[in-house]
Amino acid sequence: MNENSSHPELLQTPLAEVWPEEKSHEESPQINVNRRERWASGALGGGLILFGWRTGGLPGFLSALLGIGLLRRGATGHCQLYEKMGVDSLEHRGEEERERSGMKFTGNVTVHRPRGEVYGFWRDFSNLPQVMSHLERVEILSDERSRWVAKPIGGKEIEWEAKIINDRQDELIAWESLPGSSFSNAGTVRFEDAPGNRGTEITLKMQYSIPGGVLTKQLLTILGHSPEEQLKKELRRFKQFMEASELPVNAGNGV
Amino acid sequence: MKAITWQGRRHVEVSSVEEPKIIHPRDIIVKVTSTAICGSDLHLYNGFIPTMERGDVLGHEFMGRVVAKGSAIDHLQEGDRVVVPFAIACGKCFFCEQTLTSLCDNSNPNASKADKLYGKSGSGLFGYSHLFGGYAGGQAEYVRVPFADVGPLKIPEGLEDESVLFLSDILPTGYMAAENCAIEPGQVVAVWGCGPVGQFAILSALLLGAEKVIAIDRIEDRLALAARDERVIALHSDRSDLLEALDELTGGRGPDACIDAVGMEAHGTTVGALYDQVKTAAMMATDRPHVLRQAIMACRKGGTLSIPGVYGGVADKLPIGAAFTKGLTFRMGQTHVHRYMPMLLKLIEEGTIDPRIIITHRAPLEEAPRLYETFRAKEQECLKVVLHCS
Repeated sequence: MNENSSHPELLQTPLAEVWPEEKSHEESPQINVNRRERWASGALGGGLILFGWRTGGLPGFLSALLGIGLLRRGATGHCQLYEKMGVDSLEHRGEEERERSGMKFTGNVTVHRPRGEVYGFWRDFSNLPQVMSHLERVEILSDERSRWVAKPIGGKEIEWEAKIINDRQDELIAWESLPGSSFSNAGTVRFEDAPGNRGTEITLKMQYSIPGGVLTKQLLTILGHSPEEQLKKELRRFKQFMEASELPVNAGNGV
Repeated sequence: MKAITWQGRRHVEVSSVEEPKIIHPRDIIVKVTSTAICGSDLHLYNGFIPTMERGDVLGHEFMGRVVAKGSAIDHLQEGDRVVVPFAIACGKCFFCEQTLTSLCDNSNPNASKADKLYGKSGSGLFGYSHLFGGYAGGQAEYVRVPFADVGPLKIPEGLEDESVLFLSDILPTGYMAAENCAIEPGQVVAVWGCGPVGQFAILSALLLGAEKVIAIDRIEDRLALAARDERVIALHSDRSDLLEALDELTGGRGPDACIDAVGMEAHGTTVGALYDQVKTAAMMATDRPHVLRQAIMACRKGGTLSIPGVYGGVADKLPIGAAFTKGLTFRMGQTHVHRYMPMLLKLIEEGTIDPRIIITHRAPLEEAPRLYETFRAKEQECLKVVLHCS
């Protein structure tokens, strides 16, 4: 779907321009290996390590060493040999850039409550931690700025400061995180009347980047913590809280 | 407290578990006085429903007295007798407002799991797997009941437990099955499965004006119970000419409406039934839609198929062409219990319905493990087990 054409106001939301580059990329070596090659390197590297470990001795050690090198090449997308030779196997730089610049999420939910009430509850960001399980707290710094603290993941505190870049009463809130955030994100949440007096349709569009980018996302997905799934759950929790004034819980087996 | 817990396929146990507590303002705690084993509990017992975990408290047909309540509960007092609907409903969402309470949007904490399997999640259910919320069930001494301002129905003191216990599930389920048939005067309804839900569906079909009901089962005493009313004709399901017999009883038209009160674990002796058994045993399908196939083939043109029997997964070789060609209407789903409870309570009070007729076994809660097996094997003419908590 071409989201810009169906949501013209998104054009006013300068996501692409303001999207903060992942800081680490500035220091990290440039990607100069294309994706197919990276996967192949990774697989071959893994195989060599396994082979080396099973063979033992000097040949084993050497193949494991080579394996580690290839695995690293696959994981980082950077090849020192290529760099020295001036080779760059990336055919589609655009695609890689986009991957690096963050993940996208779109989610929809209908809340069986009037639009003004739904917008109002969301717009007071300090309400959101009681609904969204990944948020620890939100401090309102000014009308436009707020500090968001997520529940720590792996003992690491994640927080960011966000600025409202577009706000239309009962219709739309757009925000972006400020540079220096440990979780860079920007997004828009739109509120529209659902047909047939069914309340409010919410459309949440977000771009975000997480340390490690796409690889981390895939790893999280394999582990059952896909960021998209989490965001969908948060949207559902928002709906459940707005409608039923409490979030359903089972207290575990037998409790 | 004591509770009946699921431990694995065909293994339930009396366990000692922690007593429930009030968590939300709209909760109550019920001290269970009577509870029952449902035919759909056998799907759990037989391991047909995914996402059961060892130690899950079973049971979704229960009643008792309110012993604690959250701050948002006004209409119930401690000591009140209540029957609790098996489906948990928030009362505020779009579906609850339409009284489609078993489709409640807000009562399943594991809705995203159910979304993946079913496209969208139904309501939370008591004691019916984690897919439906992982709520502890009612085969226990105490139960936490969420959204108690919406669900539990207050019962007057004069009525005994056994008269009203089935308002929690099977009586409304049988009634909704018949109502889904949109019965018009003079119509003939065929009911596959004369278990508790089938019996109540037959009764309800007659109440709703069916001229004749054809009861189909493979157990003689269940057929006999159904045929106590002279408007009911009993047919043994193992007869090879079942479809011909149905035609014969309906002047060649086929039944105007067919009720599948059997669901995913249908038994049968035909090639189709055998095929289902092999396929489910090989984990290539989850449900055995043998009855559904027969009902589709038997139903008259333009007729209705009503499905109160539970299906949980994927079924195979459904004659969709027959359903299409004959322009059938399908109505199905978990029962919107809340919608029917007050009306059915009135019918019980008036004496129009006596739900006790189906009870064959009464025992203390602790005997549940033995009775699960009795009910599963359909031994001792077992039709309905009621468990009493002292």
